[in-house]
Amino acid sequence: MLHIENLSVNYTGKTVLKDLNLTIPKGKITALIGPNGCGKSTLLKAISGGLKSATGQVTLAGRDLSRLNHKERARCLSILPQSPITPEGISVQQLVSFGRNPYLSQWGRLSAEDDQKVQQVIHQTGLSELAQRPVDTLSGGQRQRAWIAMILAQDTEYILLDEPTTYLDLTHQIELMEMIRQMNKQGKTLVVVLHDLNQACRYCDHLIVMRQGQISAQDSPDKIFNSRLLKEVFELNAMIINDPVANKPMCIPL
Amino acid sequence: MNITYPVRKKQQLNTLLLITALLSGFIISLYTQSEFLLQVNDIWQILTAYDSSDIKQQVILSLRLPRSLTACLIGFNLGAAGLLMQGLTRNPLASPTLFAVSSGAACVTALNSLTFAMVSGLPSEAAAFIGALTGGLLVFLLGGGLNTQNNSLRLILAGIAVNGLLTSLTRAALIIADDTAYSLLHWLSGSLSDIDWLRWTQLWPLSLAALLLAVSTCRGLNLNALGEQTAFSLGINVTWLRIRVCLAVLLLTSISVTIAGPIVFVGLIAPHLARALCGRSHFILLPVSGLSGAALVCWADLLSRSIVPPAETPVGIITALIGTPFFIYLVVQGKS
Repeated sequence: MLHIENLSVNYTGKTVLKDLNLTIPKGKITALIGPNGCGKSTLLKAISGGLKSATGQVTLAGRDLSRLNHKERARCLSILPQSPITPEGISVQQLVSFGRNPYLSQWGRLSAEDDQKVQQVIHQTGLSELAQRPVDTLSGGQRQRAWIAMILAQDTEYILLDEPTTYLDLTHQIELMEMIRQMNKQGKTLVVVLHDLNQACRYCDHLIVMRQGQISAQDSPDKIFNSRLLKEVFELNAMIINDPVANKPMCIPL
Repeated sequence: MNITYPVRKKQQLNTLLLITALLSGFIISLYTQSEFLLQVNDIWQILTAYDSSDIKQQVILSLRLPRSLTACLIGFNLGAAGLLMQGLTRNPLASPTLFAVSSGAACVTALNSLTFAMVSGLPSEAAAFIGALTGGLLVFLLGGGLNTQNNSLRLILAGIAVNGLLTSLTRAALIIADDTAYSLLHWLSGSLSDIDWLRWTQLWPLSLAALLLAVSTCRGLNLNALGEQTAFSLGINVTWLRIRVCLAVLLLTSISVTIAGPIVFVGLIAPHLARALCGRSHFILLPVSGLSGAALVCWADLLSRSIVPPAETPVGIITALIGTPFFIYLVVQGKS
């Protein structure tokens, strides 16, 4: 379990997150949804420990995350930013092997075991044929897969993804959501910031709905996803129907 | 397999070429343009038939060798420092000059030469070193200090501002210090003409320490290329990395400026040469960028003695002449 207690973030006097308390259920896919600027990305960064201005406590399996050293933390929890910087001239395999960093000794040599993990992850994400290609020459969908592969090589129990489907076409969005589901089946706990509410309902077990730096609701889609919530949080008039394929709620804006 | 990048055949060949360029420059600089009409053979003689009463051998050993060694090491330092700066800021136009180390050293040296200034009376090396460190620290602190979020640009802007301030202070000091202005100007253009063994012994121990520090940042810099947030997620202590990189750059450039004055553009060009030759891993780029810098300064120093012999053109002017078109090329290329 990942517990977040009394989390607040202030940027130059402006409160971005105010006294949040929430629990990320273990072994589930959690979606973070909310209107633009409500603090989703900030919350994700704060959970990862990468925000100096954050106050409060994040505990992972009873351990205070801020007390762990950097490598220990990176073996428990990873975060993929919304638009990570793709360096020039780095091959897919090199990028994926960066994921092994928290496991390496001082000089950063990969052991046979690390190498095996890298190869396995490349295979699993269908990147075998692209392994030697520079990442900056890949298409958007392939590139996002390479980033996911790096995260998988990091082999953390908790994975935070910040809007991983942005900039992807629908086919690649679905491909990515399926990958997320796959990762979950292998025992990973995922927290994903999503904009597409129907995808969030279809693929995620748990929703955290945010508005203006606070939590409006958190529970499974079946329990909380209704037109009153959409009106309240997104100021959107919508009707909710049952998704005939996934048997989950879905919204149709009116 | 290494976490970073396999060394390819082509990279080894490139490095070999680079070392050849450096060595030939180094050897030529030992004997060329001398009033004593030195020859390659004299160097050979030192190695095979050393004779302490031979004036030619003594000229090489006591005048030429320290100068050439110093030129190479300063070039190495500047090349390495440039690579660290570009790696940290992920900006190909960043260079150690950004840290206002040169202008800081110049400013305090200039002020020091004024008899009424507070710092006057310091030995010029001490003044230059203090100035270099002060200028660098000022930029580091204004540029966001330890706060690593989104401030590569802030660091660059701070560098421009502090550079501007220190340069204008230096100009003012130069105008007031009429009588010493010439020697100051000479130093300000970057010069290797007064190098002896004492300078070398001041230079190498600190350089070595700073270079070791630089090596320790390579792994972090490889990951820093993916952005601070990703590097953090991968278990890098980004703040600590930043401190070590800045400290290494500060030391490397401060020592070099103290010994030879500001030698511009080497820290900008050398990393580009290295990346063109040897890929992306900082473990390989660091020594290669250092060697590129060493070769650049070595050949620039050679040129500085050859343009209008026996007079010497300050080496900083030569590197600026090479560097300016290169800089323009980089900017134009970046636009297209």
